[in-house]
Amino acid sequence: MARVGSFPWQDDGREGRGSLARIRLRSVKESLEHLCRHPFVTFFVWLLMGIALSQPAGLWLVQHNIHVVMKEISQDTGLTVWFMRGTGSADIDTTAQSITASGSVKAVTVITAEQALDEFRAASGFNEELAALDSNPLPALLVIELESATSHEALAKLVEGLEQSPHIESVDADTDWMTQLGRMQRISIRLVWILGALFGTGIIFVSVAAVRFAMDSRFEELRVNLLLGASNRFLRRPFNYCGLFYGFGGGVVGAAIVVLALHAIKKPLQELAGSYGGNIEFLAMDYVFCTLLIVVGSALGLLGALQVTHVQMRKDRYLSRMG
Amino acid sequence: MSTVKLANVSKKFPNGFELFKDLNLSINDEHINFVVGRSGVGKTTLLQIMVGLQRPTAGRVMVNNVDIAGFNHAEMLHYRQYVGLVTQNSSLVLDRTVYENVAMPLWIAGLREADIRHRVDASLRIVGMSDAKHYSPTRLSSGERQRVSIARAIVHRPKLLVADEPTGNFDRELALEVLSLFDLFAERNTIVVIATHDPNLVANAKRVYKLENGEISDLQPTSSIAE
Repeated sequence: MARVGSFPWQDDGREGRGSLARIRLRSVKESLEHLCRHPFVTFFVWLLMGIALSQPAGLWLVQHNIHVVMKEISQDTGLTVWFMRGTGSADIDTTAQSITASGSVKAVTVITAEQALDEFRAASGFNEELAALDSNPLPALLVIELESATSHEALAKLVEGLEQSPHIESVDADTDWMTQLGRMQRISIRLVWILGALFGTGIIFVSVAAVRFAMDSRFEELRVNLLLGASNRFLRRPFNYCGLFYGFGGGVVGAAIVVLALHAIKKPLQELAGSYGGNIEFLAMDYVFCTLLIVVGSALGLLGALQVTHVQMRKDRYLSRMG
Repeated sequence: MSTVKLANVSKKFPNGFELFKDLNLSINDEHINFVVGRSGVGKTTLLQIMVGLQRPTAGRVMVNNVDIAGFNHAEMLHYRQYVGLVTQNSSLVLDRTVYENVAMPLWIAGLREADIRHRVDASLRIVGMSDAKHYSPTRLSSGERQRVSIARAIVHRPKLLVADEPTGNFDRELALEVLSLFDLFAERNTIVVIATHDPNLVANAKRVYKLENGEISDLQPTSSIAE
């Protein structure tokens, strides 16, 4: 409503507070009517926006599931630390204590050189041959069981620290492929952001084009409304709601696409997880994620609409001329 | 009494053409105010200045002692909500029904749907278009469209009713009938201004102003118009 300090007539509260809800409601109704009047345009806008939204959303799910897989597999990972031959039991105990104190391990088992030899003797049956040796050829070792919540990064840090110890010959941990997976995950996170930005911009452009079409198709009505004294806000409102509904519908379609895609790959994914002996629960589309996708879609649709209505209304093209 | 006073109003277009200069005019809500003159003399521009569709190059447009020429864009739009406007070409939205076209000023005002229905029905009844309320304007003749346009101009009970050649498409009988509608509003303290070149319309008028060569003159008594 215009702020009128001095007005020719007593203001009877047109477009006043009490009626604003009605005006908004009418704008919503008009927007929905427009969407229904142009079903093909609406369908294709929703489809375009849905596809655009599903790309970053799907990739985010993929990278999140990689994270879940890495976490699950790292739970089963243990380390074997091989000491230099001849390392004293005091050094071995000190190393074991320092590893325990690091917090990322569940248990550390010390196997002395003698225990290792006994185990080997029992397992191999080479009693006589081993008895003939001058000294014990086996080193002491530590078997480390990791905490279930140990991340790949913490594991890599622990291995790196152990390898720097002068008493330790080597550390066995099959972490190379996990390192690669971690790198892939970092790439996929960046891709999510890049694709999110690109497709987000795309959605805004789709919204701009669709709302621009809506405005052009109602050019005459806008002109007449302006003639009758409708405020810019009044004129913009139905189109802003149009953008919001386009984005909302796009979000719903996007969520549906991701749900269908996940459903299609669910079985082979579970088979893959089973081959690692894991009982991995993959993250699927839940209500929160769907809602988030719809909210993001609606926000982007609205953003595009706000932009185009702002620009269009600043132009004088809708200003009326009589006669 | 409501008044519209134009004080030293000038209108010059960007191409340098000066339509009128230092124009003075004072009208009120006692009777219908007619502005006559040949085509191109500036009647439409004068009306547009009164309703805020155009701004004067110089001068003041005092409506009830408030200078509307100084209004900003938002204030001008708000002012226009209190004005009824009948344009020469009816300015109806063709993909809306007659009912919806007439309801437009009330939607802008944010009235309840029940009130809107009541007022639109009343306005359409006044102009004799009740039966056509669900029609598209494309189904109507130019005369019928103009009647719908008048219904839209009066539906929100304007304080200032401005009509530019409102009876241009009407036969004499219908023109006089429509004129009686405007009379009705003039009696209800609405300032009514009609631009026309139809001599039949101003035959019995009490307030007639003639726009000629950039100057406006008060033609009284009425008999002189016919001359």
